[in-house]
Amino acid sequence: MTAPPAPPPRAVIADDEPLLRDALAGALARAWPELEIVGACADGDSAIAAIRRERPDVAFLDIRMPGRDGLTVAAESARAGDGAPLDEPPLIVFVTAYDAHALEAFERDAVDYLVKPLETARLERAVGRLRARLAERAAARAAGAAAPAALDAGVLQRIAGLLAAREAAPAPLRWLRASLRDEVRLIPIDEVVVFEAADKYLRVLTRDDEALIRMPLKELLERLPADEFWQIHRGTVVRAREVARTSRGLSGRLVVHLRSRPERFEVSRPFAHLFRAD
Amino acid sequence: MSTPMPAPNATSTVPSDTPTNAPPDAPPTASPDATSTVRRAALIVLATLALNTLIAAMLVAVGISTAFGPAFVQSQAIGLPIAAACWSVAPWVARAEGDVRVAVPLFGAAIVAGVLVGLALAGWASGVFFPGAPAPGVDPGRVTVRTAILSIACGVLVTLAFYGRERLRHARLRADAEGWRAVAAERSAAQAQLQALRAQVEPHFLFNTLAGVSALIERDPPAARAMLDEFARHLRATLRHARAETTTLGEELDVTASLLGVMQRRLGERLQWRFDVPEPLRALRLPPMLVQPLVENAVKHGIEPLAVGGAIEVRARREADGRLSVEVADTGRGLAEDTAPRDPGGGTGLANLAQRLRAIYGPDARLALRENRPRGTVARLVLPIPDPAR
Repeated sequence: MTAPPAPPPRAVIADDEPLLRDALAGALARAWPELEIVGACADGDSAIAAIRRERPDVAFLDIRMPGRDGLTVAAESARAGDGAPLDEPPLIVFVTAYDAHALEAFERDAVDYLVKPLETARLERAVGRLRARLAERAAARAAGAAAPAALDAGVLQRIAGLLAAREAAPAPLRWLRASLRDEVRLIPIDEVVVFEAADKYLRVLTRDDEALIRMPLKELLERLPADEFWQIHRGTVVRAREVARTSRGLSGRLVVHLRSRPERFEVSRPFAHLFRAD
Repeated sequence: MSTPMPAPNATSTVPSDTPTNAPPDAPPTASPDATSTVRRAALIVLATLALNTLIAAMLVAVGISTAFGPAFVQSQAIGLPIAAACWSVAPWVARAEGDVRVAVPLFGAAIVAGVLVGLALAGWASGVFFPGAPAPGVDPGRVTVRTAILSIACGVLVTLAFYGRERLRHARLRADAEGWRAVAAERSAAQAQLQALRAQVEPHFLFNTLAGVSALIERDPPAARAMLDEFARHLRATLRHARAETTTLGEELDVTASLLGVMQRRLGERLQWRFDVPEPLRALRLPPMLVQPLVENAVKHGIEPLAVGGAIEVRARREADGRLSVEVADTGRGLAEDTAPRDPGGGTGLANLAQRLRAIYGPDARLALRENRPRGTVARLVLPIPDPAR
């Protein structure tokens, strides 16, 4: 009794640089002639769409891509559009120029990754492993057993971990978008000397300019580097390095003098400890 | 016969809470809080009392005064008002940063006023404590004049001593701060060089470019060769460039063009670019690596993250005020406030550039970003580079 000829394996590839996409397709054609490339995508979103549409056996994913990146695509490839887990998600191979963090994470796992420029020998080894795993799958299917998962639980977890770490760290604020006359100006956080709450706006003072932004002070505080800025009053945050000295105001309150601005700012009692001599 | 004792006074003149000029990286100076202010005031009063006592003792020692008791009382009676007067004008002197033209009249007036009050006080105190003095036979008028002169002399000497000490301290602080600033400027220039080099050999840029060349080698050998040439030219120019003191705008643009050439081959239709720079401006001299980082930034944060890509235009103009402006405009993703680059090293490039501009040009140079319409970012550099033809 002979098994029916297996359908040719199918793959989706994704890389935002056309040269590299073509190079990968070409290299695969040589290393794995029967592999059929059913989708060649330039960004993460179209890669996810192609994977859901084509249900390929393998996906070769660049990590850094416009839109959703390779890690997100890998995580998404394990489930259908409605979120239900797939029986036989594609086997994933990351193809990357250099992603130290991601590569470290997968160093000791079964997940394959390839570095660019592609080396023929490495690609051939990866193809050999992929073929073996596809054969295992086919055998399991023929025996009526559940297919071994494409990405084992540990790897999926690791990808989720990498993604979560990236999402959870509130993006450090580097730029403020401020309306200034008829244009929108971007002010680098590094230039800000003082933030001062004014109604629902924040007054942003730089060395030689000022602007208003619409952001609650509370949100701002969560995203400012804490070691660079000090809150000295309910409505005032100053750059620590800009504090030249303090003095006592007439009311007996501490007053902060800045290096690059003439204004003085009062320190309210709960924040006075920042300036205590000891 | 007790010659009245003058007395001096003195206070630490220039109050020490004048600006400290600490180097920009130093932690902010913790300022005295209430208890230390009290402690300071107490110290000053004690020092003044001690000084007055010392003067009284000296007057006795040199024979101007005959008895220590009356000399002590008069010394204190005159010295304390001078100290108080000088202390109360000290903040104005401090505000003028110790300027002699302010210090001399203010302290002079304070000393004279202090002496006048002091003499009155001394006359009264002597009457109270030593009803017998001054000794008979001494002309009270002459005694008062001599006391006044001695008091003023002591007051001036002590004030001068304190004032001089404070000036010296401030001069030293200022020198420290300046030296520190020079070091900081040097350091930031060195950092910029390093940054530029590191940006060029940024692993992603390097390996993706190599992968691109490798991809072209078989399919289109002449194109592969051209790309490799461009990449090599770019690397070489960057290495040479980062070390040079100055370059011309034209050279800077050529280096930038080789970067864009490499990126163009990699990104294909996703990247369009053009330079709009009047020929005469290309000869202007400027520090290297001011324009290229802006273009790099536009590619990395504007064009690459967008699947459809975008266009980059570099424009240079002579502004009405005579300064040179260079704009790098892209139609890419735009630097929304909440878009942080994925890699932690990103985004600091512009901050470094701004820091470098400050070190080189001070406040005359400007780096500003604004949003491009309908999408993207415009980075605008304004440099105080005069027109050599004029």
